[in-house]
Amino acid sequence: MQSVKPSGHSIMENTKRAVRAPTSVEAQEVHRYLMDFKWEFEKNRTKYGTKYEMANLTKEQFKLTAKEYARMEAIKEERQFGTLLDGLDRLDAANRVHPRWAEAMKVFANFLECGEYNAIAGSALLWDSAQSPEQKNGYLAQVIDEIRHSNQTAYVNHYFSKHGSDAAGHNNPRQLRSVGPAFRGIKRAFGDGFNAGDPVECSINLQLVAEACYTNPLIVALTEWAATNGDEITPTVFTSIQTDEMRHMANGYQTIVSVINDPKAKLHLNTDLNNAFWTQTKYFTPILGYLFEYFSRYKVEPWYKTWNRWVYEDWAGIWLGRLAKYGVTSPPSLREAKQDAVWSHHDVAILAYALWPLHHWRHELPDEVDMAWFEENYPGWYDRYGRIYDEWRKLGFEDPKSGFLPSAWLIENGYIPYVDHVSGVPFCPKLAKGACDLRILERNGRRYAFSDTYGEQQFLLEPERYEAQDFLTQFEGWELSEVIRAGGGLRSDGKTMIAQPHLRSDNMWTIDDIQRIGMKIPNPLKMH
Amino acid sequence: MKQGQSIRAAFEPERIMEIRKVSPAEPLEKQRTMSYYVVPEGKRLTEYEQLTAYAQQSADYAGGGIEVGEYQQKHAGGRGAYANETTEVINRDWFKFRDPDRRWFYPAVKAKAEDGRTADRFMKAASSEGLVRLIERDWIGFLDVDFGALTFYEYGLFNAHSSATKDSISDFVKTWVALTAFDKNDAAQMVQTERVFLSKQIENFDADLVRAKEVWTKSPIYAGIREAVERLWGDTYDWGEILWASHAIIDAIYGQFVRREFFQRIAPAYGDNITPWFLSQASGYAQTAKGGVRRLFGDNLANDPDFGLHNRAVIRAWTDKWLPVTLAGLRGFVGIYAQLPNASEKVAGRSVVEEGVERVMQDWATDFAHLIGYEADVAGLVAEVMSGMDPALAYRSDATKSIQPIS
Ligand SMILES: [Fe+2]
Ligand SMILES: [Fe+2]
Repeated sequence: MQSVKPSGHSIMENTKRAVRAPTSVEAQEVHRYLMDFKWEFEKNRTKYGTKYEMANLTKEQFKLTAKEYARMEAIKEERQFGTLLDGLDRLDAANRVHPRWAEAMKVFANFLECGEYNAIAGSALLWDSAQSPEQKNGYLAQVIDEIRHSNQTAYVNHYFSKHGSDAAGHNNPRQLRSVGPAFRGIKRAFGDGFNAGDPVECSINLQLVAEACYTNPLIVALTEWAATNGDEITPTVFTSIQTDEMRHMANGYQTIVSVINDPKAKLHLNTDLNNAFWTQTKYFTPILGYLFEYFSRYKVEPWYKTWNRWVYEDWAGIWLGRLAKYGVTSPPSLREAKQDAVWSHHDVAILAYALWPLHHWRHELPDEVDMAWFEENYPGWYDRYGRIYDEWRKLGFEDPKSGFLPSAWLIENGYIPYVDHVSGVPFCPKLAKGACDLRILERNGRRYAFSDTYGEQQFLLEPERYEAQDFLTQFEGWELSEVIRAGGGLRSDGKTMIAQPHLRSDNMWTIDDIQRIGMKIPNPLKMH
Repeated sequence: MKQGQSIRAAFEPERIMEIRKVSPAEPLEKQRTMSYYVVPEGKRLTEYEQLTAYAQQSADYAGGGIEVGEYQQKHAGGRGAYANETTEVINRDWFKFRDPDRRWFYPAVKAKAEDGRTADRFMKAASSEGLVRLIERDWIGFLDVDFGALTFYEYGLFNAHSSATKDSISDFVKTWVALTAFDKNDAAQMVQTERVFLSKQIENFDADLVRAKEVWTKSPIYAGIREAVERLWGDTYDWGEILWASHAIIDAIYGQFVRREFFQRIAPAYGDNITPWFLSQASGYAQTAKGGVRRLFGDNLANDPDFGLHNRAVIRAWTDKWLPVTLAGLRGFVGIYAQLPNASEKVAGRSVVEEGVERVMQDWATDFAHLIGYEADVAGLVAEVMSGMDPALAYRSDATKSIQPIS
C-alpha cells in the first residue's frame, strides 16, 4: 500500500497561478486517468459466461472521451446528412439509380441494419466482460457507433422510400423480412452471432471476422458497385460508416491481446475462430455475391476476385498473420470458403429466384447481357443455372397469368431445397456447385438438415443453442398467399405484391395471382 | 473492369440515359413513409420512430415484437439474446416505449458535441478571467478528494449499464439505455475534466485520483454508497432493476444530493463557481434520464394493461431493496458537513442541510415513488438521513486526518 499523501487540505499550501491565460482541457489529458477510474471489489466480474479471462491492463488504441467522440461524430453526421438532404436531393439522386440496384438496396440496407443493431448488444456484452477501463471504453464507443450505423442503414431505406421510384420494400423491410427465407441467415450471422454466446466468441464473430474481414469487401466493394450503377446515396452513407470501423477492428485485436496470456485461450481460440469464420462466411459470401452480381446492370468484377483479395489475401494472410505470434492460425474452413466464393452465390441466387414471392424486393431474371458475363467469368454457369432461367422464362416466370411458380418447378424436377439448420441458409444439394454435403440428422423426434460438417459440429456440441425452426418447417402447409399477407407483403393498393419477378410497371403480380396457384409450402425433411 | 476503376454512372451521360430509359415513368408506390405501419406516439410518425421501430429482430415471444419465430442461435444453455427472462417486469409491448427526448444518434451526438463546445468555451473564459483565484484554500482539498470520489460514483453507475444495454428488450429501450449510459460515462469524465482544468491553474493540485480513490474505497463517508454502486454494477442481473435502482433511486437521491445540495450549494460559499458550472451538465443528464425512466417504468410498465399490477409489485420490491442502501449511503455522506472548515451556517448548518435532504426526498417521492404507488414517509426518510449528522455518528476528518479503514 502506498504512503498516504498529505491530506486534501494541506495541499492548500499552494499558490493559485495568477496567470490569466485562456486554457482548456484536451480529451487525452482526461483519458490518461481512465485506468484509475476503476477500483477493485469482490464482485466485480462479468455477468456473462466466458471460457476466457480478459486481462486487467489492456489499453485501447483510440483514446476518446465522450465529449471528444461526440465532437468528431457530430461533424461526420452533419456532412453526411448535408450531402443527402441538400446536395443529393437537389440532384434527384434517388431517381438516377438503376432500378435493379435500387432493389438491391432494399436488401442491403435492411440486412446490414440487422448487423449494426445487433452489434450494439454485442459491443455491450464486451463492455461488460472487459476488465480494463480502457478496453471497456473502446467497446462503449462501439456501442454508440453501432447505434449510429443502425440509424444510418435505416436512413438509406428511409431515403429511398421518400425519394425513390419504388418505395415498396424500402418502407417496410423490418416487417416483411420476418417471413422471408433470406432473413434467417442474417439473423444468425449478423444477429445472434454477434451477441448470443461467449463474449470472446462474439467478439471474434463481430470484430475479428465480420468487421476485420468482411468490412472491406463489403463497404469498399458495395460503394463501388453502387456508384457504378448510379447510386451516390449508398456511398455517402457507407463511407461515413467505414470511418468508425478502424476502431472496431482495433477492438477485435485488443480482445485477442487481452485473453492471450490466459493459458486456456490456447485451447479454445482457434476453434472459436474457425467457427466464427464459418458462421460469417456461410452467409456473407453468398449474399454479397448474389446482391452484387445479380442486381447490377453494370458489373465491377467477379465477386470471387474481390473475395480473394480481401478475405483470402488481406485478412487470412496479413491480418491473421499479425496474430500469428499469439498462436492464432488460419481457420481450416478457409479451404471450403474459397470454393464457396466462386459458386455459393450462384447456388443461393437460383433459390432466391425460386422463392421470389416471399421477398421484400423485385428481381428480374438475368438477361442475355448478364448471362454472357456470368458464363465468361464462371465457365459452366449456363449449363448449371442459365438454362434453368431460360426454361423458367419460357414457362411464364414473369407473367402473372401463367400460374408458374419456380419453387414448384424445382420440386417437380427433383431439385429439393433444404435449409441448413445452423446457418439458416437455404441450399439445394442437386444444384449446388459450392461446398455442399447434405446431412440429415434426427434428434428427439425432430429432423435437421445441414449443408456441411462445420455447422453440424456446432449443433452436435451445443444443440440447445440452435433450437429455432427453419423457415420451411415453420410455414409447412401454409398456402403461399397466406404467408405473404401475414408478412405485410402487399402494396398500398391492398392487392399488388411488393415482390415481383420483373421490374416493369405493367403486369405486376397481385396476391390473387398467387392464391389462384394454391401452392402449399412443403417440408422437404418429411420427404426422407 | 477491375475494382477501383469502374465508372460512376451519375457522371456518365450514356449511362444516365440508359438508366432513365428503364426507370418507371411514375413512382410505383404511393406509401412513402418508412415504417408506416408503426403506431406513432404523437399525431405523426417521427423520424426517430421510423428509424428505430422494430430494428430489433427479437424472438416472437418478446412482447410487442413483429418477428416470426425464434432466435437462430442462443447463449450456451439456450437463452436468447433479448430474452424475457432477463427482467422480472413484463411488458405487453416493449416496442411502445419512446424516449421523451426522441434521441436517435444524430440529435443525441449533436447535443453532446454542443455541451463539449460550451465546456471548452467556459474553461477558456474562466481561466482567462482567473476565476480560480476566488477559490478559498479550505475548499481545494474537497475538490481533490471528495469531488474526485464523485468520478467513481458516476463511473460505477455507468458500468452498471453494460448488461442493461445488452439485455434490454426492444430497439427503443436499448437505444435509450445506451445513450443514458453514455451520459453517465460523460458525467464521470467531466468531473475529471474539471480536476485536470484546476490542476493547470493551481500549484500543487494534482489531478491524479490516488487520494480520491483511497477515500472512496476506505472512508466511512463513502462506504454506504460505494457498496450500493458495487452491488449494482457487479451483482445485479436484472436490467430493469439496474435501470430503476440507478436512476430512480440511487442517482435520484444520492446523486442529486451530492451534485446539487452539496457541491453546487457549498462550492460558491468557498468562492468556487467552477464546480457548479461543470455539474450543471451532469444534472441535466440526470433530468434527461428521469424523463425516460418515468416513461418506461410509469407509463409503460406500472400502467401496462395486463401486467401493471405485477410490475408495480416488482418495482416496489426493488425499491424496498435499494432505498435503504441508498439512504445509508446518503446518511454516511452527510457526515462530510462536520469537516467543512469555517463553514457558514447559511450553507452547512443542520437546518439548511435538512432542507436540502427534504427537497431531494420530496422530489424523489413525487417523481418516482408515486409513479408506482410506493408509500413514502418523507419526514421519516429525511430523519434517517439526518441522523448521519448527529455528533455521535458523524464521521470526521476524512479529508483532513488519516483515514480509518472500515471495520
Ligand atoms: Fe457498424
Ligand atoms: Fe462496426
